[in-house]
Amino acid sequence: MATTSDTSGDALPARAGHKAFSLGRIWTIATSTLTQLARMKVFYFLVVFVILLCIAGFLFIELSYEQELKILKDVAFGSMSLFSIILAIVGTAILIPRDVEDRTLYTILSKPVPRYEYLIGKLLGVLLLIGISLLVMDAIFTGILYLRQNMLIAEQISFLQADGATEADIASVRALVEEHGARWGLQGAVFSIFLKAAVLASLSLLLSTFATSTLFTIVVGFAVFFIGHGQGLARDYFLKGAFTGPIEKLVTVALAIVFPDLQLFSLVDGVVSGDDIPGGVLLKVTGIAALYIVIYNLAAHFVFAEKEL
Amino acid sequence: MRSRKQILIALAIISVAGIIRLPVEAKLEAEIRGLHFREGAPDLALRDQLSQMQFVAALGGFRSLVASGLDIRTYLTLADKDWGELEALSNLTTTLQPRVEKYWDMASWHMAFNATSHYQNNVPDSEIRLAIRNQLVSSYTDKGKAFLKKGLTYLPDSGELHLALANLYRSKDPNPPEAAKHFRRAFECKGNPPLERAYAHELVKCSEPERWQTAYDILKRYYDQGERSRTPSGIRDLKVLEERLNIPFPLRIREQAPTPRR
Repeated sequence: MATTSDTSGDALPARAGHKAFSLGRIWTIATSTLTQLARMKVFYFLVVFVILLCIAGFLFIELSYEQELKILKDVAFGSMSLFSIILAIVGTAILIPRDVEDRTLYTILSKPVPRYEYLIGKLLGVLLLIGISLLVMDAIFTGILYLRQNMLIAEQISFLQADGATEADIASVRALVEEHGARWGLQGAVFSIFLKAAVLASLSLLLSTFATSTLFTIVVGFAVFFIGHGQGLARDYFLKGAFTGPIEKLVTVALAIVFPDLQLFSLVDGVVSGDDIPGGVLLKVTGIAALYIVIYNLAAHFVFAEKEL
Repeated sequence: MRSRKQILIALAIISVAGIIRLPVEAKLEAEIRGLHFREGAPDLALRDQLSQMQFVAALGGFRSLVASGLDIRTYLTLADKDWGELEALSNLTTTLQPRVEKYWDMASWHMAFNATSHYQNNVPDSEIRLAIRNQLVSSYTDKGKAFLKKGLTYLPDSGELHLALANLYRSKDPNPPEAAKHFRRAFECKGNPPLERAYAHELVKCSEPERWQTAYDILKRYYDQGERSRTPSGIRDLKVLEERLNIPFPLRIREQAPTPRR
């Protein structure tokens, strides 16, 4: 059966047995992208992450245990967010220009690989890098948090025993410290960080399909990041405010339509305060993230399919 | 020309999807806010109080981290005894994360206990007139109360905040009915028996006989639980209440009221 190779613009006759969509090909591109990014020594940031956590975990020992553990969690989640956002925007922005520069892109596209598979593979490679980085950071963070939590419990117990406290008192203090320490609910926050980074990576990929330079993609990527976070503020101010005219309202709506609302993925604050993200909410947020990824990939495909390389 | 057309198609895809996703996102956002999982967008008024970097960071999803940074600064400011700065920083941390009870608790503690103690004990008479000293002590006590009351509007079921406010009404600004009310709420939230006893002790200080009866019932219940629940203050107040409520002699406790400490 003869099919045409996808949308590269030039309809080439496909070889017999060639599939229009192959997960194997996408996986190959994804793993080679991961290797390509890993060779740029991006994992060195983990050293910085460990240093930051050690400072946050063991420097502010004169504060109360709630404050100490909150600072540790804030620094950990803040660092995870920052590193994953940088990896998502910068890591994705350099991929297509680097492939053009190395001529790898021509080698790949000269084979029967549709352009959309190339884009999906590249995005998947970045997502794998972000996912692995977050998993490693999460493991380090949980380890340090657990260690610090146990040190604090031991400290509190020794104070209580000196005061002749009962077993019930000790159990209640242990439960209080554990409430602010390592718990499964924290993993929801890590997942929400991954979702935000995934949306930003797919947006960055879209930008890089028509960008004239890597710098353009990075600058616009970060601009969209801030616009995406400021949308809630703009909506509250312009749409609900009494002193705004129709033009401001129109601009706000236009911004809301074009740019992603990244505050939807900012669920870390609630988790740090002690709440767990309900499963239903996490599922809906995942759905919204998936929608963004599909839309940006579709748009990227339309631009990239006709792009003259 | 061809690439411009493609970019316009991409923009159209994003816009159409945007129109579809907006109501879905609005619903989800309302759900997340309804669960008190996320605060509203940072207020524009915050812009005047935060540095540019802090505001950008708070806007960029690092609100909790900024609040922690300000909390550390609050702690450092405590050493300088700059109570005005400390109040401003406490206002910022509580505005950024109003659902973290520790921020309200600490802000109130700094105002109602640390600042008032400073003006009561550390500032010599030569530096401050008595009327000003009293006015400052009263003003910082009120600020401490205000922090806790505002915190309770966000966290009405916070046992810690009710307890802090009860302690404030017991020791810094004596008001037994208010102290009793908040000790009771703290007990309801935390379920800790000493809080119920504290509630009863405050009721004893009130002037209404029906409150004495409630206090008597609570303290007697603990007394009847056995030796471990019989505290000196409990026995003292039971003795007082037996007199006030004219409890028949056969029903009165056998212990003598503890001798007051000199």
